[in-house]
Amino acid sequence: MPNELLKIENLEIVYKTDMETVHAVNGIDLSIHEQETLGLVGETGAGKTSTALAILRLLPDRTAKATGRILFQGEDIAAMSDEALRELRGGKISMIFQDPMTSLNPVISVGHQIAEALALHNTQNKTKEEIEARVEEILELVGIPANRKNDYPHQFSGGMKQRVVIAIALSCNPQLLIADEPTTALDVTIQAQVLAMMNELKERLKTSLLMITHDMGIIAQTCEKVGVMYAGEIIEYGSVEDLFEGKQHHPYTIGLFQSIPDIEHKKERLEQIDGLMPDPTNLPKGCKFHPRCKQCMPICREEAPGVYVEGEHRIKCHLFGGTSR
Amino acid sequence: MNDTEKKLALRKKSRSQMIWRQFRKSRTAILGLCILTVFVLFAVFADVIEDFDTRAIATNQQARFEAPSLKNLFTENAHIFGTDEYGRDVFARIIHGARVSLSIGILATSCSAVIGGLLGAVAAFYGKKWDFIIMRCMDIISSIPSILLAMAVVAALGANLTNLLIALSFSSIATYARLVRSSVVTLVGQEFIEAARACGASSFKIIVKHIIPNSLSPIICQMAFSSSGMILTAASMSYLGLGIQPPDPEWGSMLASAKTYIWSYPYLITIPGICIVLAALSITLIGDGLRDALDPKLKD
Amino acid sequence: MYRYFIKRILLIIPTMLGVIILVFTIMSITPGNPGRQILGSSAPQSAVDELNHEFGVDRPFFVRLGDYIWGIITRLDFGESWRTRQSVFVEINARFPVTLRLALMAIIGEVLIGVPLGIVAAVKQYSPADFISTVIAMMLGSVPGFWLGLMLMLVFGVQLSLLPTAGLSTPAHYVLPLMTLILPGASGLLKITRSTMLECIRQDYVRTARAKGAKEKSVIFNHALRNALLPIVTVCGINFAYMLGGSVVIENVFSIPGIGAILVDSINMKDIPQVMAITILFSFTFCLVMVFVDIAYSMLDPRVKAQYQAAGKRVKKVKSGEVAA
Repeated sequence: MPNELLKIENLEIVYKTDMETVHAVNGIDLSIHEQETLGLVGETGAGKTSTALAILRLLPDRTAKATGRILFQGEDIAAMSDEALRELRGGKISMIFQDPMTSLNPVISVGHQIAEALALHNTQNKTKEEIEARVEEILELVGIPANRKNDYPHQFSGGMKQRVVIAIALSCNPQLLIADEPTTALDVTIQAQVLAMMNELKERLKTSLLMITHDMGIIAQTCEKVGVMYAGEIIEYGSVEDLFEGKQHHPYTIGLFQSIPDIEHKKERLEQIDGLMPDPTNLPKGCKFHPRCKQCMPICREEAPGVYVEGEHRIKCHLFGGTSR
Repeated sequence: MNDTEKKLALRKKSRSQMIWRQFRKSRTAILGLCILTVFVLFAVFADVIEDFDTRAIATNQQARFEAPSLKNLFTENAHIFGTDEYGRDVFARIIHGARVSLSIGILATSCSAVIGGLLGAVAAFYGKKWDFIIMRCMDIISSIPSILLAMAVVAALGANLTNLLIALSFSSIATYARLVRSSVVTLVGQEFIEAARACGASSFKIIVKHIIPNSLSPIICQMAFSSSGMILTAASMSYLGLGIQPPDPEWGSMLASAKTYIWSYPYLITIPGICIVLAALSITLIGDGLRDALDPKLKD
Repeated sequence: MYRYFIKRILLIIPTMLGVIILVFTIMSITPGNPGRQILGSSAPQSAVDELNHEFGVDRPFFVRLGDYIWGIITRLDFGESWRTRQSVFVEINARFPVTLRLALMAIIGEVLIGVPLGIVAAVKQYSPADFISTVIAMMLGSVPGFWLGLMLMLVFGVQLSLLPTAGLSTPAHYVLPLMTLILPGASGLLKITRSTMLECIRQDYVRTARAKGAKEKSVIFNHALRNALLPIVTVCGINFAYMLGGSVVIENVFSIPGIGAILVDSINMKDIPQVMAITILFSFTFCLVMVFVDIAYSMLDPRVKAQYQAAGKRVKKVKSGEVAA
């Protein structure tokens, strides 16, 4: 088994404002191994992006508070010095953000934005010319003609901008790439292109990938391991096979699958999960999914479920008993 | 569940109540409101508190340059802010001056808001030719620095209260015309205006019933900010002798006549100045609170 | 793009023509006739008529207006001062440089004080430094310039006897007038810098820059500030133009022989041509400054530059087209 690259232990993230306290992430455990792709799937507001930002310590420090441990190659990220953190950001771990329209600086040319990342992590003492050459190389790699490096973000389409964002993220050959809904803002045809490109680049550069999405299709296409997040918890975790082929599932996961159209089985209408995500300022007692669960039992209202483990497959639900942690 | 019910109940409250709730949260806005209320009360009851003719206007050579003191507080000779070079009571002149300053602030702002607002609404609503003509005129007006424009108007008409009002109102028409035009232009494109038009409402009715209420909040904020600006400009103009003429009391003109005595009687400078600052500041604070309450998006 | 700027500069001409007509009209609605006002009520009617004839005010309005505009267009002739019976430029040439110099020095001071403080206030939001500078800025925003001048005079000139309070003969004479001009302007600039910086700091591209591993200094200056500059430049331009107007009052306070002093004298003595010339001159300066602001925009923001380039190529349709659509 390859080495463990990133390990998250009992991560909790709380946003505190004058008005309210939001429990965005409530004790999650994760690990990503080298060259592995882990998918995090869940509805908007499940705490996926907060988890990703916590890994790079990018949470707004005034309002957000993260507890628990995040270890990268055995080193605690929270304890890192500013300098070590800067080396980590963009160098060892880089991130692709959700919205390419706003993630690029509008007043700096795209070539310069890529070159900045390269110059910041210039471990091989490259000259200016070498960096420029590398910028052109990366642009070609993500499918943008090198001669457009002096153009500004407003001159690119959404898909092209996302390619630039990916180029920035990949420029320093990171060990871990965090992709936060990289295709949500894009058209379906462009989505497929960008995903195919990311898969290819990941293979070629031997990067680990944390793929955050709400789209089960993307998970099936790209991931080896999957965590299903609900209300700041990972309620089911396993390999892609466990999730797509396995027999036992968390009721929420079943709901997610039922809401996806299936070509092979004809259905009158898609099933939906009734209700909404619980208010993160006021989470329900017991299992957080119980108000929406079709198989809700009395115990679900009272006690938080333990984890049912079968090999690598873990489910957090009273249906399967499981050992309390 | 209790919390959810509370939130639902909150949503049902009317818009003005919501604004007031939001406004009340800002301590500085409440402070501004308190200061302004004090000024307004003094201004309204100025005649009751201090007689205009005997205290604010009549000269009294025996009582020149009396320093501010709490002596004789409840007698005829009380001069808590002292007396000026003609022996007139500074406090009496201040509160009668408050009448002038506050009414200039309110009247000039309202006049320019109404005239400018109507022009802007007409420009946006009728578009094309009208829009072009009106907005080019506004461009011209706004390319003259407003205090200079006001001075030019006073230069032409002569210096007195009415002309100062006309000058100040005229010089800030363009701001409102632009503001209203831009918010109306965005509103006109929206569906509910189309719906009203489809129902056969006349243009005038649409402007009055739909467009003005919907573009009100930026205008109200602008009015709050510009009325404090008006008070400052009016004081500056009077200081230059282009506003209220002596012996009528006005804060700016009080400062102008006190400048001669800056070496020997500095209280004649400080007291009216502090009044101007407090009046302008209180309105600005209220404006800030209103802006945050009316449009939470603008809050930083 | 140069075509756009040429067009922009040419557009000053109709605006200035409008300004001239407006100012002339305002000055012509003066009640009574200038001859009577200058000579006083006791002067014989024949003398008044003679003076009016000399000034040309006995002719019809449109003839005078046409004459005035023709004079300006063909000979740059703004008429003769009624007070000195010399060309209005005699006084303007002598005094305008003084005012311009003060305004230039003040705008530089404003930028040097207001912008850095605004950045600090935004970066350290909610810190004591932020609180104090915001409160002071707010107070200064409500202080009329002339009273600030009087108070500075009272404290530094009268009580402490540190600085001279009248005229501009030595560098020390500049201190108080400059402070009076700079303080309110700088506080306005501080406010706008703070609020736009706060907005920019929250943008996604700033997070992207942090995720690249950029140093905090570079994040603030290269990424956030460059985007915040547009509104700051606008306020500088407007402040400069208003400083010319505001200096009218300040010059009066500190007995500075600038153009403002003449303006007040001319208004008091009903010297209409002089008042018109000064007002038109200030408006022209304002228009010029706004053109410079526009040019600065295109240098700062590639999106604006692209707009200008497009506008230079095509003849822009009347803006109200969007209303009709």
